[in-house]
Amino acid sequence: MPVTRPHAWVWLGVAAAVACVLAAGGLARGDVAGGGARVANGRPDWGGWRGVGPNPAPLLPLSGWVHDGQARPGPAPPLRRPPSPPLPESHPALARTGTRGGGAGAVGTQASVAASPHAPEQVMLSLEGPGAVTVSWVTHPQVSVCVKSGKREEGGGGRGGGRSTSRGLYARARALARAASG
Amino acid sequence: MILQPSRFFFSQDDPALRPRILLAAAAAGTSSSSSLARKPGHHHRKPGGGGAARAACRHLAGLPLASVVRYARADGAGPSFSAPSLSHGSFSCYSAGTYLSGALHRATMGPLDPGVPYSYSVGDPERGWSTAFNFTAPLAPGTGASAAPYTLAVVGDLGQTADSADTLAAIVSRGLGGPAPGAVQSVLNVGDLSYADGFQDRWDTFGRLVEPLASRVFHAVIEGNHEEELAGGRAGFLAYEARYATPSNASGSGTPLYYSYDLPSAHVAMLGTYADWGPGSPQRAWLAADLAAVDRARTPWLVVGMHAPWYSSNTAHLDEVDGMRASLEPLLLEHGADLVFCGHVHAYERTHRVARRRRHACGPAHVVIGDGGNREGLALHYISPQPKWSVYREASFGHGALTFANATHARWEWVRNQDGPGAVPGDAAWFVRGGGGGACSVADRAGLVAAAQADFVASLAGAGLSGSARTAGVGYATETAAAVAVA
Repeated sequence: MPVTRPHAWVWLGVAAAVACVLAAGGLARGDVAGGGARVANGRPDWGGWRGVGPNPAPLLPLSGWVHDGQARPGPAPPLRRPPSPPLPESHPALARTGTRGGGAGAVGTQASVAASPHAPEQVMLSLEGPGAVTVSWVTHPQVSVCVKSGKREEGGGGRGGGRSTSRGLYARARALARAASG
Repeated sequence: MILQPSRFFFSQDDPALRPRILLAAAAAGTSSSSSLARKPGHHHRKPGGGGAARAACRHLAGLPLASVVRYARADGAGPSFSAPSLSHGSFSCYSAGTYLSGALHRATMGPLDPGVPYSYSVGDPERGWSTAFNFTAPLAPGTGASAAPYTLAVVGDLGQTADSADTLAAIVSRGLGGPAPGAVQSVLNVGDLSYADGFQDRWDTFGRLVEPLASRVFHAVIEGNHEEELAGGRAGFLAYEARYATPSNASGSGTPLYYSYDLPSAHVAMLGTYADWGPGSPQRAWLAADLAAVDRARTPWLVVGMHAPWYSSNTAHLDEVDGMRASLEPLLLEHGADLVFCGHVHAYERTHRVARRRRHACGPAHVVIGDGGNREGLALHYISPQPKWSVYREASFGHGALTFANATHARWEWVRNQDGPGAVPGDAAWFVRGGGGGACSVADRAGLVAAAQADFVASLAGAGLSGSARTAGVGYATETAAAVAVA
């Protein structure tokens, strides 16, 4: 809708001027994270302040960072020590190699049956209630069936499915069912 | 011997068994986020959840598998392991994308003679057994005061890195079970277990990593944000619920997302940060009933475990679940909780006894122990100056051990990984029940509870919330400001 009244132009001009002033002020404070983000201990940190009123964390200077309430020159240190990556699946503590466990009285040691899909692993105890303990473990019967049927998809098990399709899943399920019935 | 047929956790007639499964998960699996961006407590999962697991699991249907545990006393007083007791259990499974889980077996041993060493192995008589493991049957609640000290290892945000392995090795080096002083009798894991984050194979590798510990002492876990994964197009705790046994039925919660159990001298309540904790929520109602039923003469210590901390001065996740604190803290204060263990923040911190965001003799002490060693690394930065309610804080990987000496005294130790086994603890303290030597009177506690409840009601009113409304962030600004003022 066209603006026809002269005083409307005045108000538009005032609004534009206010916006320019606010934006300039934000840049001068070093609010480069957008929306006037404050900085706590050297990093933009909206997570530390979502409340009303001023942020108790000091503002970030144009260059440098803030630690313990004091402005420090230079780049901020990394937030965390460089993390260590997950152990590879081939690591002895993670691989299904049968190197774990031990004790007397076993019919077969885990090492001797580790190659079997029915070898128990991931054994864990949890309290069930008074005088009772639940033990849980995992076997992999689907592996042998899938290998026999030639339906196993190498590398399966990606994040949430990855490139999965239901066809592969059900092909394996059918193979398992056939093996079970046969 | 005739084996009882294993029971599947799903029905072949389940209409949910449709080819629709997991196509949505496949699409959602392209997300780059390592954990789902959702505020804690923002959905309510009905007790007995796990429908996704049932819907997705059909690849093991019909397989003639057995889930059997055989066990015998290891002290020679009972039947030998050559003639053990047998217990038949059941198995379940799940799938997510191209991942087909193995058979997830469970069986229950019992009744067991309290405090007696046992040997056990699991498997299938037709297909072989595992190696034998040893454990000590738990003492009955109420016997802790007269028994030897009981040590509970506490760990959080473990993951499966070299640092995680160091943490586990440090716990194992204390000794597992048995009568040795300081030997770990059970483990309390406050969540963020495997950091699988949708890569389901990583749940299996995590299970192998912790097996040397978890197969010999009791392992109590609670869900963290990294347990929530996408499956079937929905966010849920599919792998967590399918893989971990919890005494949810025995504790009356009906869900593995929150439950409780008893140690010889302690009642432990595991709270679900990622289950609804607001007013009117099932979890809040369950917690009120659970705490009211605790016999403190039988289990004098009241310990709480959960994932996200209520009291932390680390800048990471600062005050992320203050709404949960506002909702549930009055219950803990009313029933005199002694200790609260949390993770989520990848560092260590111990507080004084606190309540309503300040020191108070009637409140519990809080310990943040999310420094198990996961791949995300440490949270190095704390707010400054250190709040007065914070006793000690440090960003190093490690684990904790709480030893209940008797009904009134418990020893806490936090051990850094880099210090090695047998080193002097990085932090240590004696916790004394009764508000720090009687500093908390009945009147003090009553006043505190009333004030905490008033805080909560006021925060609800201020935010325009009522009933079962979600409460994350309620009271955030005012209470953070209060903490700063106190500091």
